[in-house]
Amino acid sequence: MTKDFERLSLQVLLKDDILGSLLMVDNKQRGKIVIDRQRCKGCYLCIEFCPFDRIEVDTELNRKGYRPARFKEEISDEEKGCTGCTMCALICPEVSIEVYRAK
Amino acid sequence: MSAEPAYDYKKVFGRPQSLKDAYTHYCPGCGHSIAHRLVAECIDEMGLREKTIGIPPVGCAVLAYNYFNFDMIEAPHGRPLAVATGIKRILPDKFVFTYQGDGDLAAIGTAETIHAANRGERITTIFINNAIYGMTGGQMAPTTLLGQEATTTPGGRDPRYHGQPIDISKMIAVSDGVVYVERCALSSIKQIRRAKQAIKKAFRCQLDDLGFALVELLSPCPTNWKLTPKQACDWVNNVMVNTYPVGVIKDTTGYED
Amino acid sequence: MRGNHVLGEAAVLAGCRFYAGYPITPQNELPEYLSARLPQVGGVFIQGESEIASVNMILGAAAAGARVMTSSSSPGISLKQEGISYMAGMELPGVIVNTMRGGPGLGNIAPSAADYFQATRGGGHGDYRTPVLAPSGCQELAELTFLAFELADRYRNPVMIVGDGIMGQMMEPVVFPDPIDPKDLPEKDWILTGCKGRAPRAMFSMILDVNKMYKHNLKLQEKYELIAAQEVRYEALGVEEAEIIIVAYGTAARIAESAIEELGPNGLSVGLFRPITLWPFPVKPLRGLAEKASKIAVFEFSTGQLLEDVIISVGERAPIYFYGIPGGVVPTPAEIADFMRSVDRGDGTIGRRIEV
Repeated sequence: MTKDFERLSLQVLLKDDILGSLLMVDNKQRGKIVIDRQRCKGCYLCIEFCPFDRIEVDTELNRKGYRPARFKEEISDEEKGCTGCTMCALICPEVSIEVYRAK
Repeated sequence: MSAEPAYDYKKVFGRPQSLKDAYTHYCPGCGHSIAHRLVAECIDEMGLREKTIGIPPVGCAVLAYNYFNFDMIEAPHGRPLAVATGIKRILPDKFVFTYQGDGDLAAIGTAETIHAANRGERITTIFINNAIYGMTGGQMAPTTLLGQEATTTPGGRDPRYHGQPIDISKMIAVSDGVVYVERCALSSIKQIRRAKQAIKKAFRCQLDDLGFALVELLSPCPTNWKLTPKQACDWVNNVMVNTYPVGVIKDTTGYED
Repeated sequence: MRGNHVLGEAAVLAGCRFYAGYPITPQNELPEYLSARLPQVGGVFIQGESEIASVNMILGAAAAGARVMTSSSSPGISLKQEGISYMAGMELPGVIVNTMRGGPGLGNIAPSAADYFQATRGGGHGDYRTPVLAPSGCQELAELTFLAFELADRYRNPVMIVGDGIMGQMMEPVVFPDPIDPKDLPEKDWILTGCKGRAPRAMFSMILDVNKMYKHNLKLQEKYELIAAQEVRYEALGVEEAEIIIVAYGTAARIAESAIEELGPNGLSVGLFRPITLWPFPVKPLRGLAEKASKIAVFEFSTGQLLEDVIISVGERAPIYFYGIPGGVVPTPAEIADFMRSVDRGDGTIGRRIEV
């Protein structure tokens, strides 16, 4: 089942690179992630590994005193959007990230 | 500039069923949680949860039974493979695996490891190698690299006093009872993807009654290496692999990748 | 039938289906016997790579629901202490057989019996107890093996059987109790079998929360108190009118019995008090006898381990004499009869008076 996901995500990546530049005009992201900010321990590997720079450090602390990672909901014209490639979730040690992709 | 979702989204990545919704005690950037997730995903995808019995180590993952959502039993330090042998011989149709660190597997448990492997027990072992003793605060492990500083090797590991780092995966591969050994890392996306495939393959060795299989996972340990999580991943990718290269160490399964 | 073989046959008949052990003299006939016998009943025999591995294998097999046994002799039992402590903490049943030999250290292969402290005080760490059964002949070996498995399952605890090199080798006729089919045993609702149809189970003995650990230890102590109240066993021969009571267990008790016969019906009035459960020790019965008898004599194959339990039981109720022979030296009944005479005279020519 994972192989299908990976093939699909590669296809989506490729498609989105082309489509994405078209869609950027509308500031829409084809993928989005939901980070459980209480579970996040602020290791920021997701930030390091995200190919499109869609994650940043939250300014607010969570219950444990970490500044969790935060998905950049807002996107400017120049930026590429999240494609739902799942790299952040794959590297996240806490299973804190759920990834969603446009149908 | 607004963040209105424009599409109908479907979830493509979430928590596997074999992983409880528990907050782990692992450090930020620790490889254990990634490894737990990969093991849980494989158990889910192969439909094994209801017949799995896992044996965690004494080490940072000693509380793994709070995180994995299937039967688990604690073992004395180093003894998971002996305990697993007892369970598997009594319940041969269940899926029995051990999850062990470098001290558990290759120091105090060396005899149990070598002999369970040599007997070709139908057991699978996930070996987490972080080149240091995490739970007890950073002492030398059998897999600590030469020159690497640990709390019991001030000045760095010296082969004259401390011996060479042990390659237990290679050692057990010598035995005919062992059918599959592979080393992967948890420090890059490519390696994490490969690790999951390796774990699935290792699980298959048990299900297909082939023999003993082991997957070694080089695991970042930011806290005891005194590095940031990203630096720790880099250290695995650039330094650790020189002593412990990733790749297949033994494969007599005949499975296609 | 030879003692070591009796143990093996009794175990199998009692429903044991898993054995792991490592060769060590003088108990090798037991694993050898089981290596052939267990597969006949669909059981599992593993010659483990060490005594440590073996006790951990039975730990796992017990968690999976089987009746399990391991065995060794003194130095190997030292190795098993970690596993026994874990089994006690995790409340896992199992039978551990110690065919004692000379010590300390590598010792010798002669029938010393100096592991009494190790067995009854818990040679492993922590506040735990294991019932300890001390047979003194082949028939009792058979019966106590059945009892050991029964107690282990009933109380979810490891149980020890202690013998020695003589007992392992002696050959006597045996009538075995009726065989037990493991399928007829009550179902265990705590074992690990995969979580199908139920919530996952976790078995562990690490409890980091100190309050929970406190409660867990109290719960274990309650169990041990129950065992102490219900499972004491001993034999008292000719103690009703006896002036001197000799206390001995195992092979030493057999020699003492012969010594009493040698003293003859018109000789000294000596009775034998033979503990069968070394833990729980029959404190109250012995105390009762000490209140009536003139003297208590302790005879054992060590330098004074059973002696301490006798002192606890008897106190100052009667003078205590002691004759302990370490090293695996086995006295003749005549020698023990002389010890009795020395106790009677109170002159300490053989053995000595103990100041309590």
